[in-house]
Amino acid sequence: MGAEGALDVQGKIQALVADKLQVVSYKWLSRNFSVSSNDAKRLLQEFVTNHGKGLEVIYALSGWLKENPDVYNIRLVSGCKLAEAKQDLRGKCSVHVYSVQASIPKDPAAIWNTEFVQAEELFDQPLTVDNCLRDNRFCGVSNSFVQRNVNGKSIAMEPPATEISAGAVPPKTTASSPPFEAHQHGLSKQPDPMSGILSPTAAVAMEGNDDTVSPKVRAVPDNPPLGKVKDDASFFNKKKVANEKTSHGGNGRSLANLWGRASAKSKPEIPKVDATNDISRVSATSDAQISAQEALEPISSDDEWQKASQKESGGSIGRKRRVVLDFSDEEDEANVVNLALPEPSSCQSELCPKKNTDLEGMGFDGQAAEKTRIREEKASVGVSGLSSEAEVGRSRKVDIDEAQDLGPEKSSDRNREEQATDYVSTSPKRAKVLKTRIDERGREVTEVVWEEDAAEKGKAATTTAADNTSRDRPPSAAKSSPPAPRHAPSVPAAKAGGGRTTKAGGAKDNKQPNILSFFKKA
Amino acid sequence: MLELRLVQGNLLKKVLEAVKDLVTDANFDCSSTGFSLQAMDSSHVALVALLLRSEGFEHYRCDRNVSMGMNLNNMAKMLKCAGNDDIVTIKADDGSDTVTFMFESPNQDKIADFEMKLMDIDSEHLGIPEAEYHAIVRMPSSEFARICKDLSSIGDTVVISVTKEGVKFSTRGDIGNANVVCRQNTTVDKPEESTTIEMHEPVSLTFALRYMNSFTKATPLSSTVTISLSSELPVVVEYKIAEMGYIRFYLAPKIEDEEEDVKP
Repeated sequence: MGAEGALDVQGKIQALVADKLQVVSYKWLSRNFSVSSNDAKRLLQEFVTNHGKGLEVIYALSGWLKENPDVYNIRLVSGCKLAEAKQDLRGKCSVHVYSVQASIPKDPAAIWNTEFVQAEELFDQPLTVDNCLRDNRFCGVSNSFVQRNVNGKSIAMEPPATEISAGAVPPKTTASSPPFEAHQHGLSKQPDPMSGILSPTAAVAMEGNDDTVSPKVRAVPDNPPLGKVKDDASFFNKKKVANEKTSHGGNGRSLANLWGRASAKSKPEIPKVDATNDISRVSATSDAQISAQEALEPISSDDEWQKASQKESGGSIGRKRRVVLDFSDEEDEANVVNLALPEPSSCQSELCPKKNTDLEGMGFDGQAAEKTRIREEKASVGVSGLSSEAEVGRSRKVDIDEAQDLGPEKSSDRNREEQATDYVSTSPKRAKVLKTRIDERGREVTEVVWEEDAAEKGKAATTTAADNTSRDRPPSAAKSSPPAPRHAPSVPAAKAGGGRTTKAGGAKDNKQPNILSFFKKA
Repeated sequence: MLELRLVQGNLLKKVLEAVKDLVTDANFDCSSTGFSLQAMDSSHVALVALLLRSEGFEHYRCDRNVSMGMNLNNMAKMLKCAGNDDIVTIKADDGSDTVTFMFESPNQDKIADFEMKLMDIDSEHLGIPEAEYHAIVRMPSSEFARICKDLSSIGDTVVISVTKEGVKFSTRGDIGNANVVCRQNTTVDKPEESTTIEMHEPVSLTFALRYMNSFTKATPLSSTVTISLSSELPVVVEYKIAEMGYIRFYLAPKIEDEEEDVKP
């Protein structure tokens, strides 16, 4: 780490210690900033010399005891007692900064609390993610059972460092008290068995997440041998550790791993994926996988140019998906408005139907809606980006295919169809007004009347209700309703039986009396 | 202070599922007799009346009559969080603008509290007169749901005609016609599967299938449904709720004209 980097870290340590009152130990530092444990100690030492004022420092002191020469003693001592403690040791002893904090905690456990949490997080990562704890990357002491991943370092350096918020402790020490832990460390002078870096897989997965280009994710080399032995060891020591367990940190990534698994199912269909091994597939983080899948799904069924357009559109997928959710949260009313709005003015005729499919599907099958989204995107790119008619035609064909895909789901759910009908039938309602009058039988009749029809109705006020409804209104309904069906719900209409649904809107209002004409207000 | 403890919590879940598509907001009225609701759909064509009698609750405390305005979709969301075997307790303090749903698992090892904001809904309460119906059809609810579903794929309206023969559901649409006739059928061993018709006068009325279909959302509540018809009166589609009440849907019949010539 260069001087600049070191300065940067120093500032961060300062902030952590002074503002967040965190105990910054060299182990935590090492894992968090992905530096070797020796570097971390050095950094801390520098920090103490530069900014040490007003802070409490705990040193790890180790050496042979004077009174009992057979015993090699390692202890954690605070700065003020350091000289005193040195007296107990014979000859040379080693001293390094163990941790820096705002004050000496009353409970000694607090000293390794943060690093313990960090370690837990690292261990809770799936086994396939070879993080720094598993491969003992930064430790001063090497362990013959653990292979180090030297290459991993550079990859992991960039994004993940900040992700890990807390410190980790190797499994053996988690079970032990701080002195013991120190003992272990002292023996070797730099005993930190593992340190903090994210595995290459994770790091690359995050990249994939950003730009939604999936194949990259799979191209990641996995390092199965690394950490395998270590994993076993960690299992002995920590029963908690489970492959798919999510971390307490709740930093989203681990949850994503759970989801990732589901989407992994469909991957074997894709030839590209087969080149990589299973482990990497599972270990790629979910977000990346989801986006990867989004990207891959069309690829599996479509052609080159679509692939390209998919990539281009990748960035906006997330945004679009959010829009869909918004729709589904809204009440039917809102949907009605949305459907009825002549918004698709920019939308070419063949795109419109798809919009509707989206709206229909969204509440029920997120994935289907998502798929549709993606394809829509694709189609639009196709239409706008490519002028050749043949290609436009093809995009249309894709649409149809996709509509068929969605078909069974749709028909399986009556609700949805019903809803579609609702959209259609209720959409013209906006133009109606409520009218109450007393009919010839002395009943109070409240009717839903077309607004533009009101004047006409006024003229025909002498006719009976039945006459009104059966003769006067149908033309008016026919007059005012066409705009809505023409624009918006062409697909639902087609699906639900063409004119029938549109007619339902008009006919219902014509002949459907109000319940208020039967029951009086109490 | 209001505290209603319902051991069969899933009844409430089912009730909400049955009503929420038809009515968005409604006032729940609590009195010493029970927990009730009356609401119209947004177009004021259908009306739903729900009653859960106080005896049906394991514990029923209602110090004074309370009317609680709730968004049924939100209420359904909350009740969806209850397990099917959970005991549901509805609690509200006097003057509070919230209601609390408490879900206890059967073995009491899990207790969940959901507090929901109430809303101010000015609803008109309609007086529903007791009426003699010309025909009362009792049939398996699943059968009725099936018929409505099937017919709605063909037409928009259903004509329900009750004669001595039985009850006939018919529709017509662009693609053709459909008629379903259910005859009287009193199987002694399985009363819930029987179809009975009490008829004083033949009736034939037309209804919008859209509404009928949303009524059938109450099918899980009861194995039988009772359809009461009278010309010039709304049809009543009633589902009994486990000995403790009912949910009734009223739907105004459509006005029939000379010929169905309007249909394009």
